[in-house]
Amino acid sequence: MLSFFLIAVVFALSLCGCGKKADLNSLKTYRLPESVSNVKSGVITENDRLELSWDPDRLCVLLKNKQSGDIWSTIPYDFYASGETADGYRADGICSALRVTYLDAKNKTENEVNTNSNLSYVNVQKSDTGLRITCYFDKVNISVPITFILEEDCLSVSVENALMTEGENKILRVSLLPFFVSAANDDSSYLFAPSGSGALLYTDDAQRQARKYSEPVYGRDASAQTIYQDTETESIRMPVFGAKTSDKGIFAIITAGAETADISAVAGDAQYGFSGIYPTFCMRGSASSLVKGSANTNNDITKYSEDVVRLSKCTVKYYLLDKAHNDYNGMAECYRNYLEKTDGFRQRETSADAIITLLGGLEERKLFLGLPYHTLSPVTDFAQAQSILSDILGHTDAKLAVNLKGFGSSGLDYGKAGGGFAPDKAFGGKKGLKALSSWAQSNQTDLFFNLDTVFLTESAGKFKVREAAVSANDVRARYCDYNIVTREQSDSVFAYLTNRLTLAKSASAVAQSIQKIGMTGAGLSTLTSVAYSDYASPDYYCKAHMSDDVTSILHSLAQQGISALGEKANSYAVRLLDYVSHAPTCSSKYYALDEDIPFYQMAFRGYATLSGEPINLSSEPRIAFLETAATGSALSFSLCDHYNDTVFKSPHSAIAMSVYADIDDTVNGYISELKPLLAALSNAQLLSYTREGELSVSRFGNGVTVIVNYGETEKETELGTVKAQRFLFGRGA
Amino acid sequence: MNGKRRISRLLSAVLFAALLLGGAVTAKAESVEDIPYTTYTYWEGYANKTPVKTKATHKTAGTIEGNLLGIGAFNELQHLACHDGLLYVLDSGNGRIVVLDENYTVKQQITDLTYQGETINFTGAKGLFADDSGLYIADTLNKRLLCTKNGEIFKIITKPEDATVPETFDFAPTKLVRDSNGYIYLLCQGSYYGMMVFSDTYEFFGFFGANNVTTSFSNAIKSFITSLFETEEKHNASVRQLPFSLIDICIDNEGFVSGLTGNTSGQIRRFGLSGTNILVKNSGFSGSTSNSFNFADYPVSFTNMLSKYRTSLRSAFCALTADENGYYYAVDSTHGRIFIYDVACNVISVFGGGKQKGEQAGTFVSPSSICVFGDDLLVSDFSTGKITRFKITEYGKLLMTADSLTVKSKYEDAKPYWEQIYAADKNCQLAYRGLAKAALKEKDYKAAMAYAKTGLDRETYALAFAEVRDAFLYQNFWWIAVLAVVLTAGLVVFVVQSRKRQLVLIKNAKLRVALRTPIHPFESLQDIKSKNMGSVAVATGLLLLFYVATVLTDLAGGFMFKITDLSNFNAILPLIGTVGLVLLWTAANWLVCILFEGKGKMKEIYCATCYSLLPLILYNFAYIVLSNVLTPSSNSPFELLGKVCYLFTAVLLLLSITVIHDFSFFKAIGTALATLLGMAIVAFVLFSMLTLWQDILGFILSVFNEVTLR
Repeated sequence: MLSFFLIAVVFALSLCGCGKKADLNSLKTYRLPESVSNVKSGVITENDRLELSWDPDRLCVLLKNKQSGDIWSTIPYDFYASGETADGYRADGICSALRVTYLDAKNKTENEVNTNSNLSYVNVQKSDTGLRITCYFDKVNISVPITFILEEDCLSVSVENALMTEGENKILRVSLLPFFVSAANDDSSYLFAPSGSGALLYTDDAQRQARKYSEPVYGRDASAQTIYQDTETESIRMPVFGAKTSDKGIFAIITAGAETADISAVAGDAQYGFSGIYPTFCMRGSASSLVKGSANTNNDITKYSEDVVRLSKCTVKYYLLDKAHNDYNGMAECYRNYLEKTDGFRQRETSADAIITLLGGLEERKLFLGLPYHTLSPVTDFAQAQSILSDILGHTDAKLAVNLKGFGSSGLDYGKAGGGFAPDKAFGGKKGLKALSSWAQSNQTDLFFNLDTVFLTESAGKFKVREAAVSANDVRARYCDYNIVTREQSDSVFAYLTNRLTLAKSASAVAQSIQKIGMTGAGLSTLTSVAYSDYASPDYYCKAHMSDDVTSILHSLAQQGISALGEKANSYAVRLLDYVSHAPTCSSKYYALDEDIPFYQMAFRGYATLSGEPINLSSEPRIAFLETAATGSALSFSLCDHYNDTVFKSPHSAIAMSVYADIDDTVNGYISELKPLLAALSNAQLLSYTREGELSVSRFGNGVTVIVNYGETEKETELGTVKAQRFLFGRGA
Repeated sequence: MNGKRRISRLLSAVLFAALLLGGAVTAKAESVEDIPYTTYTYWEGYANKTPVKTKATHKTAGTIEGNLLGIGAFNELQHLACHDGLLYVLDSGNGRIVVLDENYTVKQQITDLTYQGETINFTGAKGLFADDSGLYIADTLNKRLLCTKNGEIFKIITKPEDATVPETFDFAPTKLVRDSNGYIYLLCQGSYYGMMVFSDTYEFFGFFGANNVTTSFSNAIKSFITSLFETEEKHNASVRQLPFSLIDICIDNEGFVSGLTGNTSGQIRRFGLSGTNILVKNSGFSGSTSNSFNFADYPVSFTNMLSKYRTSLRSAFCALTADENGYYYAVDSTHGRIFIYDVACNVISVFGGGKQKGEQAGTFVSPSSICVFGDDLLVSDFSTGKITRFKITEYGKLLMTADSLTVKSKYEDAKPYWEQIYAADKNCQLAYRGLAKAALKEKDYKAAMAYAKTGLDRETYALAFAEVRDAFLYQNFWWIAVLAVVLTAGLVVFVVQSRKRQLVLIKNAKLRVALRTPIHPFESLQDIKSKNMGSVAVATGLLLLFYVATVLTDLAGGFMFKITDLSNFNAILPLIGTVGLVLLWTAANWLVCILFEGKGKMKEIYCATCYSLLPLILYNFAYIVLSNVLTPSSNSPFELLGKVCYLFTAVLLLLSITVIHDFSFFKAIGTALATLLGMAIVAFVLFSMLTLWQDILGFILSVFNEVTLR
């Protein structure tokens, strides 16, 4: 009887699940509307600050800043207002509000349609707060609805994923308002792209050819196989972008579906006459793989997911900047306001002079009677860690945050998830860690035990290799390292990815582990920096909902009194982190990106203590130190007790550069030099940053100005003479 | 249940094998520099050089683009040259030379040149050179060399009419240099004759620095056999193996002409007066030319995973320059990487990249030229029209300062710099080598040995070791001498007494037979054959001893004689090379000799073969002891001893065939050769079976994965 009941319950539940699935992850079949409506030209809605208008003749939505009179529109406003018309390449570029990439059912190729050339019908519905425009591409049997909702201080534009329809051709990607955030091609405008720490693309077109840029938000999908990688990139960590012209500015934040987006830009295309930056949302996942064919040939096969990502909509909020703030500093301010108002960011009192990453050990190949075996080889144990930290405190009396990395069962290498969620005996075990922890508590040091919950090669508890995340081509997703010379995937150096369902529920494993070892801090280096898909469920296609999963884990930890330290943290994680180490300090250095800016630091300083890349790992430590000072970040060091001769053959080259005994003077010297500045800055926000040649000027929320001289000669500044490769701070003009 | 257990056993075995053969899994490498490319170096000393990530030595400091200079985009950037604070950019597609000053502002654009009132255009030129005497343009398309000064051409050099220049020779100059004596060295497109040399009066002198064709013994035999069967037409139509032509040339800091070849080794060459390569690469204990040293990545060829047919991609240098400190900078066009070498052929660093994509700073689509201009290292890109500026980093400065002092043998001066490098990056092999040399100079021999051992520097280690050993011998001479005399006397007395009293030291007769084999081979082998005195147990013991001794030569042999890469060592492989080989020999010999009416039994062959290994066993143990005591300078007799022991073993094996099978000596040689052939056939069959099993196992595993993981 009981079993019958259980079967009935399971059956009923599965039916419920099916129903939900059908709602969201399968698109409705395309059907021509029986009738289409349109809305007359004119103002649709307005509030005290903004006014939303619609021009049905040119299919253009306009947003006006009522205070300044600035207008931004889906067709670049200067072009729109001039009454000019365009055709061909130019019109498809700047006059399309939407571009849809689909998979052609017949020839299995990716094609694109846009609202300028391929739109068959448009159905416009007006509401109290805005517009819903449904674009019908009848020739390819696709319809995509977009909603424009005027909010108090911004325009919210969404692609309604759940209401899209398709026929045989499958929607793959949707690019939203490619030239809404745009600037005329001239010498005074720029686009802001969030690559790494942030970068500017100048829009000049007189002397240079068009520059194109595109990067995925929150980095490339770790579950996707990369066939070749020659260089490294800095992932996008913030889902934002913007544009500045000579007299106005606009800033956009992707507030829903950011994980599925790429941010693309085209700058200085003389044919367009305008430069634009926009998001492209991924609707279906894909995976390319090289399949060995007959006669040893490579066949590059791309497989697309059958379903679409289970996401109701992808939303971008557009903020108009007033004249006084129409630059990247203003964009940062706008972003901070948004984070505080919407995401609950609060300024924190916690701060540290330095964030130290202590390296535990690595897997080493040893020989027994000539037969190889692998064993964990420590480069720092807990007693040595305490000795290093005591020495630093003895010399600097600094406040430290320490991330114990590679102290689990596989050291710094891939192994069990969370390194087995316990310190290995080789480092002194739980007893050793407890001793270190109690020492840290009595010595103004915040200690974090790093747990890699994303990558694994061995099963442990609920983290099972055979249940690892699945890639779009239905195999276990493998993350591979690359051969330094051939840049080929190294088959022997790989890890599987924790399945997303397990990851979402990993808070308890992390919390239990941290509490068991008597600590209060967890280092979550990979969880906070890696975003990936799991094609086991449409919820997790195209990296979707990664932010929800990570924030729920961090929230759960915070509720249990566990503080967290992240590494290269994505924006969604920063709110719930006490410390962010390895924060990006540069962009991906694409030729399209003209200038790097510390937007990440401007956005997040004050909400969490930030530090850049470890100074001792840099080939120019002094420059790295000065960059740290310029952004008011904490210093970052990667340290260990000793070097192991076999390290040179391992990928952990950091160990060779981190032996404390050899660099103690440098470490202590830099900490002592920066400490007074950090004390003066406290948790103030970085309001503005400018760099002119070899001088940078940073102004902070508490009135402190920091001027850094990167040059070889001293410079006269508003704060006085700044010696070569030094900095000055004080209450500036 | 049994089935499950069997499967679990099988899986355990597979896992164990993976543990033995597979590498450790390792985490993602960290990147901390604000550059998109990786900087690495190579560790040398093992059989193959090993790439190691290091701190950046050079960082990008922007690009120079024609349109940003306000002179229109560069089109087909071919060459860069600098002289007297000016940079000459050969913008070949636009038929102009752009002259930039130290601040990269345009000083002059040279488009049309005049010669005797006629306007000369040089679109399609591929090389140029500037010095006090003027500007020289290799006008490739028009097959001439233009010698200019102040915008006027004062000489045009065309194909010289000389008996040494073949009629078919295509005079299409691509690169040139002019030395301090005014001699012009000219490189022509596709020429495998070497460089053309013109005197300071522009007279043709001859060819210089031609590359040689190298061939192997097997290739020569192959060619000979092919020539026996091919027709004259086919022979005429076959492709001749020609020497690699020079790709780029430069003048180094000492005024030598240096060049770049397309070979897979010896790519960078420094030409002496006779035109031979005088660049020395220390290998082992004697310097030799760098002809056999691979300056490019190891391995030279890679599988291009992006190519449909998985074609092989080969590193190919395309441009070379040298700076005033004697460093060579070579660009690999395949990967867009820049290699820096010192004059001792030590790699300083490798950086850059792009592999024909070049979207990020410091990466290239098709690099065309490299030039050191002031503090900047400039690399031009033919396709993108960009010149990338690289600036040396603090770490790079330290490294190159320390290295140049070491190259000049100023080891003590270099020491503080090496110490800083050592503190900053312990993965720098040159630092260990530099510190070892400094310690040696300071007579801190133990430190020198320690640094040299870590830095895989056998030469310095041997020098320091010799000092330590000699000092030990000097200090302890008396008691060592007394001990030696006592031991020798004791041994003599023991031998004399044991003979006099006819003592039998080894009671086991079969063991006695075995150990007597090297001294009285016929007697021992006869005993095995006729008196059944062969012992499988003793033979197996000796075979295992041979295996252990072989493994120990790698694990405990002297560092000065052989560097074993323990990170790749696995004692299973020597097992195949020793025990496996003996078993294979035994089986093959038995099978072959049956066909030749041999009378030996399997047991007898096995015993005789194992007993024949005694000289090698003794040699291996002697090697283990002596290689830790002797230095390689006294290596020759030691090597000779090894060769004698191998020869002795071979002779014993032949004798064993003779005696065991009752063959004549010549028949024994014949059957030995047949046995080797048989071994090869068996090995081939085994290898084929192994491959087949591997495929079957792979298939089963993939089915298993599909079933369990989907």
